[in-house]
Amino acid sequence: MDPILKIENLTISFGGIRALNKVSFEVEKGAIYSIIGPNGAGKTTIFNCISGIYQPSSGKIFLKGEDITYLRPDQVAKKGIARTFQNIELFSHMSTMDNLMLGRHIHMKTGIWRGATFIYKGSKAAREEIEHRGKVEEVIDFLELQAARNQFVVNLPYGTRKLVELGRALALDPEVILLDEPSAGMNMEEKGDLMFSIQDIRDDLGITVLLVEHDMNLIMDVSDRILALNFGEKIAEGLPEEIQKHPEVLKAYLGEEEKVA
Amino acid sequence: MDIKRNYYEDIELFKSNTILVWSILFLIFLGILPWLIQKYHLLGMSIYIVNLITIHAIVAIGLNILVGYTGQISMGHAGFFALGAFTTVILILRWSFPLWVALPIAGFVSSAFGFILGLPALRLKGPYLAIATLGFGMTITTIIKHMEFFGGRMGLQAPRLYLFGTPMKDIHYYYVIMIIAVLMTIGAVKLIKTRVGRAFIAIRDSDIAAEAMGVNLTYYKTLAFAVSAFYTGIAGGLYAFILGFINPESFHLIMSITFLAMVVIGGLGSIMGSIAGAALMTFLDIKLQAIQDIPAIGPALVTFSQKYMSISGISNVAVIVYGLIMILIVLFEPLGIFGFWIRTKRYWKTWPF
Repeated sequence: MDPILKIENLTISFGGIRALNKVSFEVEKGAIYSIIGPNGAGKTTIFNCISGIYQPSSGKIFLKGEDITYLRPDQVAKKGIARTFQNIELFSHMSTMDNLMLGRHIHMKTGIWRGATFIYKGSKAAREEIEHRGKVEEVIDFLELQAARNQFVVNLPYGTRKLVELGRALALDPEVILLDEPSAGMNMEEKGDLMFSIQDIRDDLGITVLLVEHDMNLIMDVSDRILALNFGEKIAEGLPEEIQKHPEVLKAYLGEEEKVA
Repeated sequence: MDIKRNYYEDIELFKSNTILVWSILFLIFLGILPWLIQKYHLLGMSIYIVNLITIHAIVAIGLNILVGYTGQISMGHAGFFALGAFTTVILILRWSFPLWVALPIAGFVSSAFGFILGLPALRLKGPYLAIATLGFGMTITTIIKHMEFFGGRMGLQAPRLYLFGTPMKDIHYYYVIMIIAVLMTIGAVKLIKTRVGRAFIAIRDSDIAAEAMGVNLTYYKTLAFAVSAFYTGIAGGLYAFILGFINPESFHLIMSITFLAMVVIGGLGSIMGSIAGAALMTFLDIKLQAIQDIPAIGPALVTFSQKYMSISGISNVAVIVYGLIMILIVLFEPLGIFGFWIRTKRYWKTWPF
């Protein structure tokens, strides 16, 4: 089976610093694929390259065999890749509902004229709004966000905001979802729930998940495969058990044993 | 009371029967307003002032779509206002278009310029965008001033319009302007609730996330400028007729800034706030010109000003009071009149707790 997402020799430099150096990996459809590494290893940079926010210096990104390397972020979203951000990027003065409705943006058609002139329930704009509202309610049920539905995002606690952001990405109905540290700032209970949510996203919704995460317990529990990075270089890739014992990974995280003279 | 039965109720214009009844009462009030003014001189208003307020309200709504909802600033809206006014007058004067054709054309001409101005806005933010739009507003009026086609420095006389053979007076214009204003208000409210409006707000709150969710920033930012300019252009066209005479000098920088002040004082990101802001600012602007008529404090202020600040007194002190009111509102209610309204509503909802 062809991989759904294929990254080839991805390289990007900022100034003189090489943030990524010839990183390649493949993600199978329906996998939960995690990227780990110490701070500054280039995890979020990979996400930014995939979602079109950064243009890589060289290398290619393929989605289902199609080259998406130099597309704009909104074009990448239309291809079916949704993402969340490390430091929550929600529309804070909109309600949870509207945040999720924005996730439906690419599936809706109402333009300026139709949007400004609909007057009755059966008009096209209203019908579309109602139809997509139904989809959004499914996401709300899926993540159990009912209590937050009509609240402004600014008033929500941090953990809930993280979930709203996840919900917004799910509302887009993506084929691949990029989660950038979804568990940061969550307590143990929320982390537990999140773990089940991530598995459900894959199992029930059939979405391929790419995960950047620092919580090793979560990573080892949910991941099918793991990519380990350090200083923009790929140091290991494989099953969770392999990564756990990999000497390069241990070195990156724990440091080397030094002989004391 | 607050139970929703279906999804449509969330996007309905009239969310409850109470609102529907009030809206109808308000429309009836607007319908008989000219009669009330002529008979009782409400607040010393004339139909001219009401017309001016309504036109400013259309501009404020347009500008709020850009500033309050999309988060882009514009200090050049007097330019769009002038474009609308001159296009309408020239179309009627030179090619004798009827008003109902000339006005939309003026709106679209204005929005075309809005689109062009929107392009540099893609790369500019905050103060930089303010300067770029400021330049635009000043350039437009200068160009108009130096072209014979637009009547040059002398300006243009707005043609007299006829309604069923009789020349139109302020009161006729009142109904024309009011119907357009009501339709455009409803249009704006609906637009904000649907897909395009949501994209605007998303860009304001986090453009990076909006883009990652599939919102085409180029398209929606320029679209916001175009829509905003459309509203302003239509208002400009109407303005020409209630003024009767337009010249480029009257569309100056202060006008752009006053528009911005209306939006901020009314409440950023609120359609009803824009209307309230436009009403308050226009009303104050005109009423403060006769500040000596205000009982007790009026004459005292004028005397003070004459003694210490200028010879004429009135114009000086009027501007000072105007500025002071603006400062006080922004200081004590950063959300503007709209914020005040929200607080009052909440107070009554929870009363007596």
